[in-house]
Amino acid sequence: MRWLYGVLPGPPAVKVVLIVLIVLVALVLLGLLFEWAGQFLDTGGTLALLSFQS
Amino acid sequence: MVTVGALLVAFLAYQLVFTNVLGERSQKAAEPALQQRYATAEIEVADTIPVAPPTTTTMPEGTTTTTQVVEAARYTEPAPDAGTPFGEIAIPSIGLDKVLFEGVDVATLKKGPGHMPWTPLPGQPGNAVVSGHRTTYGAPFFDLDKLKNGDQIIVTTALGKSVYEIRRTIIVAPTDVWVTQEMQGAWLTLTTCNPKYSARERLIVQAALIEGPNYLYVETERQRGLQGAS
Repeated sequence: MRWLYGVLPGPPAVKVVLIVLIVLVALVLLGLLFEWAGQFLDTGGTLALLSFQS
Repeated sequence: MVTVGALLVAFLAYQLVFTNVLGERSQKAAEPALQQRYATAEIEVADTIPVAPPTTTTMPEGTTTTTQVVEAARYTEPAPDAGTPFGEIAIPSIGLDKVLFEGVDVATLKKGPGHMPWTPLPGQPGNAVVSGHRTTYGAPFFDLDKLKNGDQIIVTTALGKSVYEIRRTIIVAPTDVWVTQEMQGAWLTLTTCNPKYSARERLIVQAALIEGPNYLYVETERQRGLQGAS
């Protein structure tokens, strides 16, 4: 986080806003990744012509 | 290595803890809509069939009397909207009691067990299919492998209570859609992932209707079918 703070441009307030935005985007992407990977754990038991298809 | 480990722990926490909290929350949130459906759904008689043929008796004085024909009715309820709660499923032997939703899309199954919309509603003749998560989103079907033949499944809808008795449990491939095919009588088919923590196979539980508003209709139809076949 310190490294990120150091490389971001602008005054301290802008850097903090950018870090918050980056963290939020990273969390959303992580959530999407977890949802996708979750299909291999449990699809909800649906049956389909293709595996892992709901 | 530490980052990969942390991601793995976060993934497991997300799937096995966070999604279960979300699932339980969805179940509680569905209660008011479910009670509303129970109170407002209009039950109709879709069809009637005679239970026994009418008999005519000639009296000694020459008059004839015809016995009242008892009829079995098939009751129906309105089709629920996609994604909405429409009933409850209870399996006492494994302590399961969940709200049932209409649909098997990803979003609906996150709320609880879902009914495949192209199959009859539970309580109706045919093969009603319900799918549910095994280990995530409330894990409604976590203990489905512990069920034995003869165990009961109770489904409550606006129609009333329909009791099913388990007749078979099988493991199939995720592509074995034949388990959802139409069947003679009234059946309930439950589908979930197998083994636990894997979507490699499907665990299928099939149960026959033994009690409920449409039981007399289903049984009468079955016996007529048997008579027709012999």
